[in-house]
Amino acid sequence: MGAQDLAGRGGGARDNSAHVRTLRNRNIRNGLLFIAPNFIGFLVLILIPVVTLFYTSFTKWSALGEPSFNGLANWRRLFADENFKTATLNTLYYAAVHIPLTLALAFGLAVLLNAKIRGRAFFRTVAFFPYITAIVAVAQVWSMMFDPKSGLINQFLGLFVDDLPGWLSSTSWAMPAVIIVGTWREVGYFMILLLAGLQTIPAELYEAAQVDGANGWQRFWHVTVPCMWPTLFFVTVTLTITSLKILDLTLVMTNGGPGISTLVLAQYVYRVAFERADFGYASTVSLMLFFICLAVTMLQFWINNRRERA
Amino acid sequence: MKALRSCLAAVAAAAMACSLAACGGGQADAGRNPDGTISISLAGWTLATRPEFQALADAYHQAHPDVTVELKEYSADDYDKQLIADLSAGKAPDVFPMKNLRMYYTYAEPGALADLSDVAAAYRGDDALRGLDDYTIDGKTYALPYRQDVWVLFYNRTMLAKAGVDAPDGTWTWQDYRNVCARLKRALPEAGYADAYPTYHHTSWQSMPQGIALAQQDRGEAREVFLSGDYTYLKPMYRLLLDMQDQGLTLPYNTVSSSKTTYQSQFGTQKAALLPMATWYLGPLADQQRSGDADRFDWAIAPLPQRTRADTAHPKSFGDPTGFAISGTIGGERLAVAKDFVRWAASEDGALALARTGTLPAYFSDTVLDAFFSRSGLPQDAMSRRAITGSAISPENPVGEATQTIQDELNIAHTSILSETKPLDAALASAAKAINGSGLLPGRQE
Repeated sequence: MGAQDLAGRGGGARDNSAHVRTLRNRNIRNGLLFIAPNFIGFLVLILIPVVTLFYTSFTKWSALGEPSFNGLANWRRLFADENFKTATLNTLYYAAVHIPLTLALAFGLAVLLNAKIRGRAFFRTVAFFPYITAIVAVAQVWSMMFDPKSGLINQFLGLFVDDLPGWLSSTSWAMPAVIIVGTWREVGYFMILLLAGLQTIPAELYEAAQVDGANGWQRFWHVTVPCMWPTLFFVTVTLTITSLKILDLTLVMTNGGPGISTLVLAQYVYRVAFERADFGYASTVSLMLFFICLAVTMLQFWINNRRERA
Repeated sequence: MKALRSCLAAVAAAAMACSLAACGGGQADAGRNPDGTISISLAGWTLATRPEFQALADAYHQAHPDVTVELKEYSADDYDKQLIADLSAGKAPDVFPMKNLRMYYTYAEPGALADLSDVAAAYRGDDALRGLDDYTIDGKTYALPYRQDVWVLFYNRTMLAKAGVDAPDGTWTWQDYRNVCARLKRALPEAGYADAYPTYHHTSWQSMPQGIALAQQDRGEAREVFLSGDYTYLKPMYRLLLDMQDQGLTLPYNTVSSSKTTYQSQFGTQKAALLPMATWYLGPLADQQRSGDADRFDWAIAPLPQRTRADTAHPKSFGDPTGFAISGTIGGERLAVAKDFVRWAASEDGALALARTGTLPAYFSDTVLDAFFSRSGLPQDAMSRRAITGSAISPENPVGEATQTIQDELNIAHTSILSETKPLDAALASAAKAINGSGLLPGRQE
């Protein structure tokens, strides 16, 4: 469009088409130059490795020498691998609890901090702080608080109950502890996203609802939630993918332990690849993680499309 | 479209240039300079605090003035990851250490290492060089040992004397060790060590007790037992450790792992009177006592306690050798010089240079051990020396394709057992199942 405008102003009709061509070419070149820094990075660091992954998942490869094709051996091994099964279940466990919990808390906080209350900016900042704190520091401090004997949490719980959870040293409590920290860390970030969505809802809608006699609860369900649907959908998809890919938190807090009770898929990939130098099999495991993310996201899109059509 | 094509062509050209440059990195086979000198590169880690690499480079240069050994520093924790990246990019140094045996097969199998069988042949039959056989894969050798640490029992003579308990005399079984700990538990508070434990087990590492159990089992040769897929030989040592942590004779695993306890802080500040640990702690402990980072007390080492009384006559211990390997991409004069450096580092001359830095070399001759023990602050008694020279040393990570997978699975079992989150039998059974299911054990490949 810009090219034609400029060309029109440029001069006679005879060389008009040549001008248009030159300008279009220049625009394409400039456009490519603008996206080049990002695209080359994406190509070299993400796209090519991901495509290569499909091949290496059918090979035996230690990162040294050439990968040697071994057919379906990695896939057969995958389906008999107890650690893979446990890691998948742990990842799903984390996602299934972490996603609704974070979403509900973030939405609740966003609604609360969207209201006109004193010190609103302060509380918004406070809620966002955990997200920008270094993960190693977070994990270290929480580990100290979760200490079964001297930790702050159990000392507090000890005032009310006798049978205290073992937190990070217990196979059944380690995952809940990780989920608590994960939720605490991410709730502020998703709150900001939801807050931005809340502020796009026209005040007139609430006024109209109020005139019609809707109470606060009804206004929430019939005005806020429908208007927030696109933001909620975006947040859910992002949250789902980050939950399925969770790695840093378990790596620093529990290193997958005790035993493998908090071993998640991404960490299993890391272990197999970098600690066992078995990059072929690690590719197979990471492809499975990729397919799980893809399937869950596609399901969410399908639900969203159906809802929009309805 | 023309612009698009020229852009793509430029990207492709840049990519090709990058890959050519990457390939070229390791091929810099320049040979000798016109003046006859040559320099080879050597990988090392934490060069500022580990003098051994510089000491070897300097001593070799002194003996061979035409050769300069240049050091290239790697991260101590991520050494293997960084080295694999450099090797696959063709940018690895000419000579690099194999930190332990765990990754050795991974390097050797795809041809990343030069064949050093001819250099190794010069040492066959020389009993002073320990650990050479651990590097054999299908009759070939791809690395030569230059360091060999061995696990021993450190003891605080001052604490034992005050508690009225006899120091280890080299005849202890694990049962004796446990009994002594029980006595210490009662006696230490009265001797003025109110917070001290009788012993410290550094269970952050699976070596304690898995390395000991493998070295002292009676089922056969360590490599065969390790690669057999049956890990029930670990049970007696785990039972002992569990019992001892339940009795309060040592800091429990959950505390060790959650508070990231260091063995230096436990033994060095007299919070434990005994410590099974490797000889790499000898030099640093003497140094820390001098600098004030550790308390000053009288200490020494003894052979590890054994499974049976009969075994104490010929104590069995473990430790991986540390060896030098050569990049498989170099050749000609450079390869010849690198091979001579590796041969020299394993020899008595190399060992003497190393011993003076407080590092235990792989060449255990009397001269070398005299040099090693001549460092101030090290124990001088005969038992300490016997702990090193008299122990038969099994590898901790016998070499095979499955080594890393086995160790990783056994580490999972280790944390489950000692955190008491899974019963001993069940944890070992599921490790064995995973290892056998990996298809990596010898004779079970698909």
